[in-house]
Amino acid sequence: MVNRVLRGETHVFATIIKNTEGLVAQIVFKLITNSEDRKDIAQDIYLKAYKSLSGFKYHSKLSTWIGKIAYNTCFNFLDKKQLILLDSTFPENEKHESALEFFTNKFIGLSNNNSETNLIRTDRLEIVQSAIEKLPPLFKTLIMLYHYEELSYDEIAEITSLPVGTIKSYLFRARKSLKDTILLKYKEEEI
Amino acid sequence: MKTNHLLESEIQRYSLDKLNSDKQIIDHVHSCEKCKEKVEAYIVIFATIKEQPKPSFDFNLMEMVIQQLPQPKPKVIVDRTMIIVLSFIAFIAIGFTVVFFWSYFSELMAQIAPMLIYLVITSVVSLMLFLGIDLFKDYHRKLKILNYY
Repeated sequence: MVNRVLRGETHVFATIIKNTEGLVAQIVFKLITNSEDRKDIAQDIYLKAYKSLSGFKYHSKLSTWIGKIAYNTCFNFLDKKQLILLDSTFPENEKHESALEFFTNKFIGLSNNNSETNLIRTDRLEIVQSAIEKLPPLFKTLIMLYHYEELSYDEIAEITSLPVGTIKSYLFRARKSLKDTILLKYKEEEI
Repeated sequence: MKTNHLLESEIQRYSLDKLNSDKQIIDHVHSCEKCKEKVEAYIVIFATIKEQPKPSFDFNLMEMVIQQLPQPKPKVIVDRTMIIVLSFIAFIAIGFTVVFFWSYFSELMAQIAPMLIYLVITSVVSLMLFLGIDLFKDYHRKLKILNYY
């Protein structure tokens, strides 16, 4: 596919966009909040990818390579706007033991067959989504790349240019923070 | 079996990869309600992340990008066989010239002062050196641009 684009078949690039748009959207949505900025950045990512396609050396998957361009483009945009990807003072939440029991009792072992459980499912989806949104941009991105896109640590390292050890440590903190935020929400609900 | 409660990292590892966890950790989770609840909370959270709606752009990205792509310049496709044939012809031509005009060359070399030969050699080597350095710098500049993207 890459060779065909390089030979001048620009329409083949449309297939590349179609195949990688999901991953690019995941990165852009997690790092950039303004929808107008997202529009410009998404186009910029693919134009950069097209211009530097001859530099793609098949050392990684094409999607990972485009993901790296997406991450760098977003990173440079945030850098220009002096926005931060990860606040080093990001707080660790307190423990919520009672909410843990309430949370697990409410959600574990439910089937999706009736309207009641569907309501609970929607509730659960919304709460987790809102908790993800509260994470710093870098944590959000790492969580979605690992748990949603199911990328390996090496692939995430390739995209973000971070060492694998750092990614593991950030993911640990992100998961813990996510769990604590959700439990805090349930603690409030329980009260 | 571990008697103390599991560390957060152990709970996360168990929730992610139950099968490859230590037997001690597995036994502890089975017997400790508190740690079991923590594991279950993580498992529900991980499953819920996978159920999140996939983000998608509210505009036709493909169409917008394709419209902006520069029209491709026709690329000259170099045939490998053609290169071999042309190289062979060039080699024969050079060989023929050298053999045919050898007497003239040797006569010419004998007449040119050795000083002039050194001058020519020095100039050619310097020129080649400068061209080589320039080529190397250009290669690194292009590589830097590619690595940036």
